[in-house]
Order: sequence, then C-alpha cells, then structure tokens
Amino acid sequence: MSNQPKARMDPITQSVIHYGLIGAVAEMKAVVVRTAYSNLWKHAGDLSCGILTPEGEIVAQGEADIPVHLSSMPYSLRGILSKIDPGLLRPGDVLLQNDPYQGNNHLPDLIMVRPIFYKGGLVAYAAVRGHYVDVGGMGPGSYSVLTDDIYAEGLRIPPVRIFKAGKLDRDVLEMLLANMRNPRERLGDFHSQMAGCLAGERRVHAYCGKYGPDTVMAAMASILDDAERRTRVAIAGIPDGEYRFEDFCDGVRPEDGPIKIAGKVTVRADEVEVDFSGSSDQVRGGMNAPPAVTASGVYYAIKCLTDPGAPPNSGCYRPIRIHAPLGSVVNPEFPGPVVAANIETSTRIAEVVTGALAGALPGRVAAASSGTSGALVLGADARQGNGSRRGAIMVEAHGVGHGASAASDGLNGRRVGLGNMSNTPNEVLEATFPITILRYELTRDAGGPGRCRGGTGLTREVRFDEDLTATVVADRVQVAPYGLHGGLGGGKAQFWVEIPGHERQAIHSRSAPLRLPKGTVLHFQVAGGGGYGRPEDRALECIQDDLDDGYLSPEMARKHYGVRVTRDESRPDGQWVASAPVSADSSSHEPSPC
Amino acid sequence: MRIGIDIGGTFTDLVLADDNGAVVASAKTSTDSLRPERSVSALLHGLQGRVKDRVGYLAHGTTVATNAVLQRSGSRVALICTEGFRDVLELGRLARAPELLYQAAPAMPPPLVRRRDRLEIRERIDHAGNVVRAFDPGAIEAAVSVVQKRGIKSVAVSLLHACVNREHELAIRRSLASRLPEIPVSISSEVLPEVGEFERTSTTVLNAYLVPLVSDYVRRLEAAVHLWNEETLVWVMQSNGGMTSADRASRFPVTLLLSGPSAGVVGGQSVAAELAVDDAITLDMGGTSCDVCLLPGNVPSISSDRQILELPVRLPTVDILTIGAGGGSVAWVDSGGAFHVGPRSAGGTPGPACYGRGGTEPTVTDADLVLGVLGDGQKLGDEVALDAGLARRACELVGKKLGLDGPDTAWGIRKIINAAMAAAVRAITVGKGYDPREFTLIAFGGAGPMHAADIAAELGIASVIIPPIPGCHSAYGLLMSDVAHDYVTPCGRELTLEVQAKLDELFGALEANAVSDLKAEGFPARHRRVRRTVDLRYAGQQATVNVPLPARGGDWVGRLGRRFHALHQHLYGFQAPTEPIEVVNVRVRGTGRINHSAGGGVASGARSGRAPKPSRSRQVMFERNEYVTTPVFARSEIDATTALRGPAIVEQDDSTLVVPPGASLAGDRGHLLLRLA
Repeated sequence: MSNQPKARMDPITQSVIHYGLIGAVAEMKAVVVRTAYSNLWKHAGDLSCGILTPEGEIVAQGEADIPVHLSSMPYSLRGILSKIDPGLLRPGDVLLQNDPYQGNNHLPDLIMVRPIFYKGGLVAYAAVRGHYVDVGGMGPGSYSVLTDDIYAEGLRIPPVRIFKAGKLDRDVLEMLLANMRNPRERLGDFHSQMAGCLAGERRVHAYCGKYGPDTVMAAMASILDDAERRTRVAIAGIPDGEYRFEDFCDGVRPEDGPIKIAGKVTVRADEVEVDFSGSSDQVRGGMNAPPAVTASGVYYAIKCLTDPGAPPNSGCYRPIRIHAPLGSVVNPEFPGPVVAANIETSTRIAEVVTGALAGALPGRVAAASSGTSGALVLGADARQGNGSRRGAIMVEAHGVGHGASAASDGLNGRRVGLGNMSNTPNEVLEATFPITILRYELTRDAGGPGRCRGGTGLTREVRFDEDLTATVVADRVQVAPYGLHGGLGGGKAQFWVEIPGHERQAIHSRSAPLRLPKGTVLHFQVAGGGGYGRPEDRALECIQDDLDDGYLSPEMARKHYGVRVTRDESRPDGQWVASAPVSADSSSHEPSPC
Repeated sequence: MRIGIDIGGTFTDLVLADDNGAVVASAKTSTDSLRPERSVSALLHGLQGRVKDRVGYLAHGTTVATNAVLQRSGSRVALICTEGFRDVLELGRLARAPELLYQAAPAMPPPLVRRRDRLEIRERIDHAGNVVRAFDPGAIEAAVSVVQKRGIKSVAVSLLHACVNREHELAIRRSLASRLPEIPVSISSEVLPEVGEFERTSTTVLNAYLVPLVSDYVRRLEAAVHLWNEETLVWVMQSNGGMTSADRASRFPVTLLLSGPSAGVVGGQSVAAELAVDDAITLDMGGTSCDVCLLPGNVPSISSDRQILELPVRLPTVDILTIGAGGGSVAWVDSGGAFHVGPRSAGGTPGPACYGRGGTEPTVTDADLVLGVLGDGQKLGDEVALDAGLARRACELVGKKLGLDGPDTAWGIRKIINAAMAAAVRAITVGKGYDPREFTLIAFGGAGPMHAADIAAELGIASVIIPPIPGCHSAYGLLMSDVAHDYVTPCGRELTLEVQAKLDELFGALEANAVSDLKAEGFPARHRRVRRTVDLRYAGQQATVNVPLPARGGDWVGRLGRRFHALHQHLYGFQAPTEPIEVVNVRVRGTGRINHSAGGGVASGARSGRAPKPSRSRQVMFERNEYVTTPVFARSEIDATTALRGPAIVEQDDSTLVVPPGASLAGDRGHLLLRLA
C-alpha cells in the first residue's frame, strides 16, 4: 500500500470503534479468567484474546496478554481456513485447533475461534488462545523437550468445528478430553474459553447494530492501515543496511552443542527483511520454532523498536518479510517436535533481531535477558495423595533478569520477551499441590556487571511432600546472556535436585519428566540479564546500593567493578562500604543511573 | 448543623447543611497542597454568620493518601517477612504491565520498600495453619536494631499463610510494641486477611507507608477544626463509601485511597434515593479525569480488585472506574494519522489554549468553547476568562493534520472524548451484564453536565439528573454517608447444610468486632446495623461472587445457592447448578447511622409549565457543521414550575449544562431532570 492515505474513513468513528474493540478483548479475557478452573488460567492468566478481520488479520488484542499467543493467531486461523472452507461457515460455528504444522504455535495452546456473523454476513472472528495444562503425551503437563517427534508431545488437533451452528460436537469433545490428564479441569477451562468468545461476539454485534457492519469492517481495515503507516515511518528512521547477529539456545541435551540462531536484518527504506540462513538445522527435541513462532519473535522485536506505545495489530507486521530455511530450527520439517520454541526459541529470535540493530539504533537496544519462561512443571501421582491433589499438575513460569540498557539497570524478576503469564501465589500452590516452597527470591550476583547492571532473576527451592514428576524447561545454562557496549554477560542458570540420601545432582535447562521421591529438594535458578557499558564506569553509589540491597556480594564487587570493599559495622544501611580503587580511572563520562 | 469538606487536587469544597441534610451554604477555595488543613480553616472561618446552630459533625474527603502514594512521599517502611520470601513485594505477580510489554528497555519505579529494609524472620506456618517452625521472639532483636539505626518510622509485617493463622504476626507486633512503642505496626492478618501473599503484602505495606503521614495530617486537621469550634468531631470518608472516625483513619489510611471520589458516588446515591430512581450511574468529570460508578438497585458496586501504581489494594472499594478524560484532556494525531484525545491533560498550567496562559494544544474545554457549549469570555471560577479565538486556533493546528477545519476538529474532539466516557460506562454496565438503558445518569463535577447528554444518548440512557451544586457534589455526598467498617475472614468450605454451624461461628466473631468498633465510635445499638454476605464460587474457580445472606429458616442454604447460580448466570452468561459451591470468605459490614434524613431540597411544587426567561443566546453546534442559535439560561430560572425544551444552555457558577434539541428539562426538588428525546 502507498504512504498516501487513500479515501480515509471518518477518523472519529474509527477511533470510537478502535477503543470499543480493545474494550471487547479486555472483557473477553475477564470472562475467561473469572470462570476458568485451572490455576494456570485463573491465577496465572496463561491465555490471550483477540478480534480478527474476515481476512484473518488481528486488529485488537488484550493489552497485557501474551505476545506469542496473539501474533500467531493469524497463522492459526489461516491454517483453519485452509482446511475448513470459510464459505461454509455458519452462525453459531466454533472452530478449534492446536497443530503447529497447520499454523499453530504449539500443542498446549488451543485456539478457539468464533466466526462473527451479522445479518448473514461474516464481519470478524473472536479468538481465545489458552494454554491447556495438559494435552497428553509423555509426561504430566505435556512440556518436555526431550522428544523425537511431535507425536510424543501430545494430542494433535487438526482444525475442527467443535460447534456446528450452535450445536456442540460431543463426540469430538469426548475424544479430546479422553487424551488429556485431569479432564474435568480441562472441560471447565474449555467452557470458559467459549464464554470468552461469546463475550467478544456480543460486543462486535453491538457495534454492527450501531454503525452498520460495513462501517465496522471499514474501521478495522483503516486501523490496520494506520498501524502499518506508523511502523513504516519508524522503520524509515533506521539507517538502511544489512545487520547481522547470532546467539544461542542451550542444546536439547547437555552433550548437544548450543543451538545457533543466526539473523541477517536488512533495512531498506520502510521495510525490513530478516533472513535466518545459517541457523542450526532442526534439532531432535522440542526447540524447533514453527513459522507462527518464528514470525512472532521477529514481529515482537520490530514492534518494540518501532512503535512500542500504540496498540499492536497485524498492520504493524505488514512491512516485515522473513526468510527461514525449511528444515532449520526456525522452520522445522514435519514431524519435528516444537513445544518449547514457543517462549524459549522465540525470545532468542527476538533478541537476535534487536541485537543486530543495536549498532543502528544507538541507545535504544538493551542487552540480552535471561530469555526464558523458566517453566517448572510438576505432576502429582494420579493414584496416591489426597482429594483434589491427586494427579494435580502445576505449571509455573519464573521471573527473569532483563538486560540492562543505556538508561537503566535491567528489571529484576519479571517476565520477558514473548511470554507474560503471571505466577500462581505461593500460598495457593502450597494449598493445592503437595509441595513446600522453601525460597522464592532474587538471586545475588546474577545481574551482568556494567555501567548499567543486568537484572537478576528468581531462585526458587521446592521440597516435594509426595513423589512427583518434574519437568524443567529453561535456558542459559550453556551460554550466558550477552552484554552490550562493554557490559558483561549475566550469571548463568542453575538447576539441581537433592534426593534424600543422595548427593546433589545437576540438571540441564531442559529435562525429561523426572520421577523424584518425596523429600526431594529442587533448586530452580534462572539466569541474570546482561550488563550495558563498562563495569568500571558504574557510579560508586550504585555499587554501594547494590551491596546494601544484597543484589551484589563484596567479592563480586571487587572482582567485576574493581572497587575496594571494606567492612564497617556502624553503617546503618549495611556493613559493606565500597570505595574507589587506589588508582581510580575517572574516564567515565556517561552518568550511571540507579 | 453539619459540614462536608472535600479536598481535591485543585479546589477544596465545603457544604454546610442543617440537621435534616438540607444545604444551607457552599463555598470553594484553592487547595493549599502543602498544608491542606489551611484551606479547611479558611473555608470554616469564611462561614461566619451562616452557622446558626451547633456543628457537631464534620465529614471529610481527602486526597492526602492518594497523593502520598502517587508522589511517593510516604514514610520509610521496614517490612518483616518469612525467611526466603523477602522479594515477594518486588516480584509482584511477574507479568509486565501493558505499557511495558513492548518496550525494548523497560524500566519500573523501585519498590515501595527497598530490599535492605525487607527483614526476614525465621518462622513457618503451613497452608492449613499449622506452625511448622516456631517463631523465636529473640529473632526480633535484629529487626528492632535496624529500625532504630535507620530511623524507620513505620513497620509492616506480612508472613506466609498469616491469613490462616495470625499467631506469629500478633507475637511480632507485641514484641515490637514493647521495644519500639512509638513505631506504628501494620500486620497483614489485620489489614487484609486474604490468601495471596503479594496482594496481602502490597496492601499492608501501603498502609504502613501512609500511617505516619496520614495520622499527622489528621491530627493537624482536627486541631484546625477545633480551633474553629471545639465541639466539632471530625470523620473521614473511606474508599468503601462509608465514614470512619479520625482515629481509625489514622491507623488504616490504606482505606482512604478513594476517599474523595467515593463521596461523589454516595452523593449520587442520595440524589437517586430522593428522586426515587432505582438504578443509577454516577459520572464525575473534572479537569483531568472522569470517574464513573454503577449503582444497581441504588447501591454502589463494590470491588476488591484495585491498584495504585501497579500495587494491588485488595480492600472493598466503591468500584469507580477512572479514565483520563477531563476538560484538560489534550487532542493529538499520531504518526499514522489517527486522531486521539487524552489521556494526557494540560492541567491547570498552561491549561487549555483558551485560558491564554501559553497553552497551544487543543483540549476538550477548547473544543467545547469552539462549539459554543461554553461562551466566549465566560469566566471559569474567578480567575480565567475563556478566549474563543485561541481555542479555535489550537483546533485548527491539529485539524490541519487530519484535513479538518477548526469547528470540525472541535466536533471530533468532543465526539471522541464522549465516546471514551461512554466506553467507560459501557465497561461498568454491559461489561458486567447490565443494560445501560435501564439506568439514570447522575452527572456532576465541573465538566459532567456539559457532556452528560451526549454520553446518555450514545448509550440509550433516557434521563440525566444534575444535582444542585455539581461542582461541590462530593462535599455534599460526604454529608450523606454513614459510618461503615468491613470485616472479612476466610472460610474455605463447601456450601452444604453442615457448613451452617461454621458460618454462625465465623459471623459471630466478625460481628463482635463490628459492634465493639462502632460502640467505641459512640453509636448506640439503635444506630448500629450489621450486614452479612459471603463470597461464593464454583469449587475450582478463582473469582468469587459476593452474595447477601438470605434470612434464616427453612432451606436457606438452598436459597443461598440459588441466588448464587442466578448471579453467576447474570454476570458471566452461564451457570452450573450441579457443580459444588465453595464458601470462600465470610464478610460483615458494620454500619453506624449518622442521623440524617433524606430530602435536601425544596419539595416539588405544582407544574405550571412557565417558560423560563433566557439571559442571552449564542451559536452552539449540536449536529456536525450546523451551528444553531441557542438560548442561555441562568440555573436559578429553572425550577419545578418551569418547562424547557432544547436546544438550550443552562449556566451556573460552577458548571454549564447542555440541553440538546428535543430534550426537555425540568427542576425537581433542587435537582435538574433532563429527558432525552
């Protein structure tokens, strides 16, 4: 499309409808969260809502919903519509699928889509993507990376019409539930997902009634065009050129080498192309990113660097082209497993794109984060234990250290990249699952040293009060998050278990479903973010604050920042005092913000 | 007599009423933001001859708590927490807020309590309330010495599972009280005894953060009032829509975060009661923001799911939705060419372009002026005379980017801001299963009456009520509030016949607290009321539905269940009658009646249909690109005996009302009743 606005629709009506659609998706999410059954949905909110155009572009999405859930929706919908003729859709239909080889992101994320008809015509789609706690497969929670193919990852649901003209296909639903652990909880979540879709439909109907369906559709088209225009203006502000960067994910097994993501970002006028030639071949394990996931990683990075303030939609992604070689880790051939690429590989893809543009956009790009969801999945035995805890499954993500930037230290213990689900409160976990949480705190010394310090991540220690199955999916045990402009990398991740009567045993950042006995203590420590700028340029008072707050130990202060640290018991705020080294080099010119 | 005083960011308002609640006088002055009690003194002393009788009661609404949090000017707090969990406050719930989600380098303000001041105590209680590791009172010594050394002024205590067993928190408070008697201590099992460590900790920390500042302010305020009149007792409005004693306000300042806005809602409730309106929506539009609240059955909706600065406050709060839409909201065009209004506000300086204080960006007030809703040269307060030329130029500047002329841009600004407010009203009605067309809109605040008719029309609302002094309506609302305290305790049982005895026991304990607190505030039994509710959900769900307890006897458990199923259907569109129901929390609200009788204004007289006399006329745009010559009336012209049909503008000191073509306007007991065509 051209940069000149074509015959624009009335900007006033457009804004009114735009805010209305954003309100609609917020309402959809509220309905699902309030009526859901699993901790993962009702406490952690691992689901996202969107409204899509009849052409399958996403036009409104939940404000704090999960990026990878949303930018992948057009792919999932396209997959559905290549199987189910859109001409045959009828009012009351509801569509469902989860197949990464038909456009979806991974098996646990079932997308439910409600075509919205108004007076016989299709005007939009309401979609809710939710992470089902279990979709079968080799271990409780369906989340292990150590698989050979997608069949081992769980139940693959091709596009189906789960409701036909308002009538539920019970046979299909029964078959799905028969392949999921804890079917009653799954069914409760299924109902709430449906309630969310209906809430979206009601709101779109209301706007069609008020403005007419043609105006609503014209407004949606114009909203997307405006977003495209804003993005193109911002891309045009990036100097033309080819920018290369590469980074690594941990290998699937400790003995495997790290997985390489190589990106060449070409900026030409107001368009961007990302070429992943040179990335690792697809791997034997669920780290392969299907097209929807690779695209989501790229889209996320470009959105962050071009137009972070405005509501995201498909218009923002139109100026972006992606080349991902078939058979590579960013575009696997069937039946390669994919489950953890969703947040792990995708976030690395995003940081390769931002890393490539760090030189072209000085001061705008942060160092690498711990780049992981830090997923810990625990399953209780389905035959022992009491009441509702029997066979219960816990899925938790962990807050990580963000990369430092030119202006500030990295965030501590927040979600990063393409994931954004919350935790489930520790008090709720202990009440609903047979564990005792011993520590839930920020890791000392994990933030990458620099003029601005990388953020630090979570350390959690859990004691098992019954025999449990544990699956770990995280990253950055093998390769630390990178620093920028002289900043050092963040502290690597560490995972280990202590089984009663045994020595401490390290585990890799990705595990098989491990059967562990009652009394086991599991240590889960994600990596810290990379630093930004030279550590010796960090202001002394920032180092002092980090010592007083325990983010930094005296040993590491000496080692990385080169300061003298002495002890003074009489200081009110802490016993350690940092002072400049004897031969202080005062070459620092940029102020250190803390 | 009684006095209501509401202190807002810009103005402090006073309303004086007789013992029947009838308004005798009102007054306004600028807020002294450093010493707000001085504004109160000035207004009180300015009353002079108006006070004919003893003033025993002064009700106060304040922004002091909210401002302290927003400006981060509260006290340094030490947080005592369970070993291994000191970062709960900093970690939050891990998810990034929407505005950070697509930032390449997100930054957040530091936590309210720095990490060094979060002190771990070795102790452990499990989820069932069993003491797993006993608390060693000696361990408190380290905390005591930190508090002394660092000059910390307030302490918060939030231990894991303290909502189930408060033993350790009480023990810590006892030892702190004996070692540091001058330091206030807020404990989570008292401030918010609910499951969920982050929300409980956050609410408790906010309380501790505010105690020194708010208690000091309340002391100064009481001193200022007593200097004026020794007999006058000071009461403070809480976020839950009820008053509390000055003493309790000082101990639980976290309950004051919506003190002022709640008063407006209660004022709206009283207007609705007086005019026998069943279902109302209040709309309070000022200079920077707009507050809307739903009153189904003329009872304000209550929510416990609120935040300030991303910090949750899980206390029962009048469920006000605030959006950045006010007279000062600025219009702008983004780089893609889309047209926006707000949420940024031009504030008081430079203010809207038409103030002539150097502002060049068009605001909602500028648009209203260009469209003739406000008059060229009209005075706002005593200070500013509005300049329509400046307003038009500002609109043209933004209009150029959109291909619109000045008036059309102004039209768009008004349309967009009205749509945003209509969306807010839709969120609290349609979004919660209510049909706005069944509600009456009560509009106040300086800008509310200017926009009410458009918002009502957008939502299909037929009637709008404008109270007598829209600009001082919150101060009026303060006089209409009772004292109210909320108590909660977790239950965690399935709703069956057997749970009845447990409920009796839990309610008994809460009611005893309610009665003793109200007694201490001087309420005799005949003025005390206790209301019982339970939070229910389908076992396995997260969100609860608050259901009033039915009368005893017969199958009341069955009736309670049926009420819940029906409410769930209403709120979420489905019910599951075969699913077990869980009783999550038991709640009691204790109310102490302030002796006011409803009915503030003059009784409605016979309608003679007298046509009021306009004072002048001006050009007003009601339809796009069409200015219509419109009569302007003084509000004093409109009473119960008059009949008026739009188009018309009605002006009074603190507000301007728009009556669109075809709408009718009549006075009723001091209020204005606008009926849309």
